Amino acid sequence: MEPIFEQFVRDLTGGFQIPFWAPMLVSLGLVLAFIALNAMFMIWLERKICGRIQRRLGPMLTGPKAWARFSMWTGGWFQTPCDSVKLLLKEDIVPAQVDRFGFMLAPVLIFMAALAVYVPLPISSTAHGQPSPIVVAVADLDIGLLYVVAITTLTILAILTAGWASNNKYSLLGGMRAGVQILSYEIPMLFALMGPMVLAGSLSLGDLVLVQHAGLFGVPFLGWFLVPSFLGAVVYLICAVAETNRPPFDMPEAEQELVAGFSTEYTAMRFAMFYLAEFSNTFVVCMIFTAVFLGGWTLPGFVPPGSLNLGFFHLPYFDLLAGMAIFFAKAYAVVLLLMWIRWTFPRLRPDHLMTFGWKFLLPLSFLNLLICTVLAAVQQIYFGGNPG
Amino acid sequence: MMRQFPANPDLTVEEFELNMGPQHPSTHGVLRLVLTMDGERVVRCKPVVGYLHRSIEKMAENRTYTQVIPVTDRLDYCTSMTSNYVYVMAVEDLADITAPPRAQYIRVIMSELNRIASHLLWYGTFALEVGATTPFIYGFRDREKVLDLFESTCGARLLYNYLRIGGVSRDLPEDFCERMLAFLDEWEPLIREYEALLDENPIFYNRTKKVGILSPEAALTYGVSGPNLRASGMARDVRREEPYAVYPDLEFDIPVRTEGDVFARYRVRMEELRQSARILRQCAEKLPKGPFLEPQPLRLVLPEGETYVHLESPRGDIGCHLVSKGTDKPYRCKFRTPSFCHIEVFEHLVRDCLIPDIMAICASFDVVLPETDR
Repeated sequence: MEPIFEQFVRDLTGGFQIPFWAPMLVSLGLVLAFIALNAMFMIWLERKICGRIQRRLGPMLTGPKAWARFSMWTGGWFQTPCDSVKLLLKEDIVPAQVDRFGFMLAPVLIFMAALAVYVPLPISSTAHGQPSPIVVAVADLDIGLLYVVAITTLTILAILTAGWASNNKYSLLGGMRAGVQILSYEIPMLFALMGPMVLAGSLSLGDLVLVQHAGLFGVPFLGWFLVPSFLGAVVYLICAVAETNRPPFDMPEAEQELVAGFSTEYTAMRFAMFYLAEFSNTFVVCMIFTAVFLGGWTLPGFVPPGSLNLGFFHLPYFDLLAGMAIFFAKAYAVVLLLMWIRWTFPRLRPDHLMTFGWKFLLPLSFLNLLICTVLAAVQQIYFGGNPG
Repeated sequence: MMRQFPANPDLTVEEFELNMGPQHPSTHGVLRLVLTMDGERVVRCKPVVGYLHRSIEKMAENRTYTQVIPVTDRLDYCTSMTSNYVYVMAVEDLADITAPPRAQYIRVIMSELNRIASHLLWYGTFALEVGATTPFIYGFRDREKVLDLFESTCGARLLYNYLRIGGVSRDLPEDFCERMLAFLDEWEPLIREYEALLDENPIFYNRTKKVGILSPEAALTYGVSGPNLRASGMARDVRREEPYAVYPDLEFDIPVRTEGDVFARYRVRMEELRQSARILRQCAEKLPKGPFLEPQPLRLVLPEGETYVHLESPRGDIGCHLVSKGTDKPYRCKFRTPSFCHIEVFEHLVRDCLIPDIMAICASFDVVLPETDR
């Protein structure tokens, strides 16, 4: 982020040197804005998709009436902003009998995790004004993959805290379910991600994308790790749904069983934090899936120019914008898949998830790791080095 | 109860009480289950009923025989027609009135349409209880069409007050049969759609197979009836065993499953939807012309005596015990409702189950609380 930002400001102001803290603050602002806006859009989209699947229209009344007349996809645009305002204005209730510290900590914790996880996610790359193309991320950490997995696990900690602190049996059961669940999907998930890691020989998400772009065995179309590590992709996607507590793995907040699970006692913005974090995390796992299995911001055999000359206007950072468009298109394709799953499947039983995780997903992820290791070895012996 | 944790004697395990209901998203109204839990596992379950008691039976004693009919609507709001029917049947039995044949057919049409409406409602809520949201909308979407048929017939969509002593309150609209057949033609293929959403889904399969198994012996002991009994392998149906109205003239099968688990109860109801459609087609074909009501005096006075009649409602065997002391009001009007018996079974079935199983089991019995509490 820093070099691009510095370059951008220099271009704009004619040589102004920004202070070292500016990129961090700007990144934080951008990520916060992105989380809020994207979650709003996703909630709207979810309700529309759900409506489509259930032969309804979804929200149609809020927003410009003229748009709503056009089609179901143009109606109800203001629904989530209105809902957000409603949640902001609701009374913030801390029940008398709760553990106040834990109760107030949990929403902050879950949002913190949702925020921090954005750090190493690469959304694009640019060569504009740089000696070599650099990855656009808040910080492309060398241990990005590990960091992401570690941070998303914090979510469960927050849910446990919320469940425990709420002093409500349903909340407690919900929190405990989340805690028990985590073991059964986190381990297969890590092993599923180890496949791409072995293939790329790196833990940096940016490197993973670049390696995929370079292709496997010299064939760019084989490059997306979805192909060599298909089993891993399936396992990761299933585990990711479980991690974000989305149906069919929403046991911690199973409405029909536990009322609202860990969030039963929460109201207003504290509740909204959980909700926001849930949607943010959903999008994050889709972004991780895109970066790790779908080639991130790249398309096979396509390298956008660093800047585009439109004749009358010279568009800088074209590769950055094109990469972002590709990346978000892919991520949203995964989001749509998750939504489709959500509105079609019944909920699993907690013990079935454990059986499923340990007896099915874990062996599958081991098999995937084996396949990936063999492929990486072949690549190394016959084509020299890691694919990148 | 405290006991020591087997792996570490320093730790103790404590059971706790979980009060599920009367306000809970999935207790279908106001059922209350007092659960003694060991973690997620149910140790004991005590169903508590009575939160929806409206003293329907007592109210019936202060109304004339005709005035009781709208009260029976409230007995079971999902199948008002059969609730009407069982009461009207008891009065007719005691007064020795026979409804004209056309009325008999109309009553059967209404009962079966109501069975479809009720089973569709059940399909939706049952799927919701196992965590699938979409089937709910599918069930309700098609139930609306049945309700449209009802609305065109008697003006009401939920509480019909349609049956009368000696017939029905008004004749079917002229194009009713065509519209009903059009609905059936359109809707019958959709049953496949309902099944496609659940049947072939391994999650649903795991959630329902071998869960809440009710043995035929236990079912009989608890007085379980209707689809729930037939899912336990007992082919018993009042429509077949003690045929009333025109059921002897109609051809239909009684779907039976032998497993007795949640899945079997689900399958039996899905098959019943098809059988109801089959009955309706025959009724539309055979519906005779003629009067739809044999008018009765406004203040009908019944001879002294008592009777017990029962019929097959979507939920099971609903009965009415009517006692007359020779006045224009019932002396006693007691309803035997299937849901009440079904709730008793929960105590037996949910023991050692997990919380999600409670939902699946309770929902699979199709319990309607107003009918339980009356």
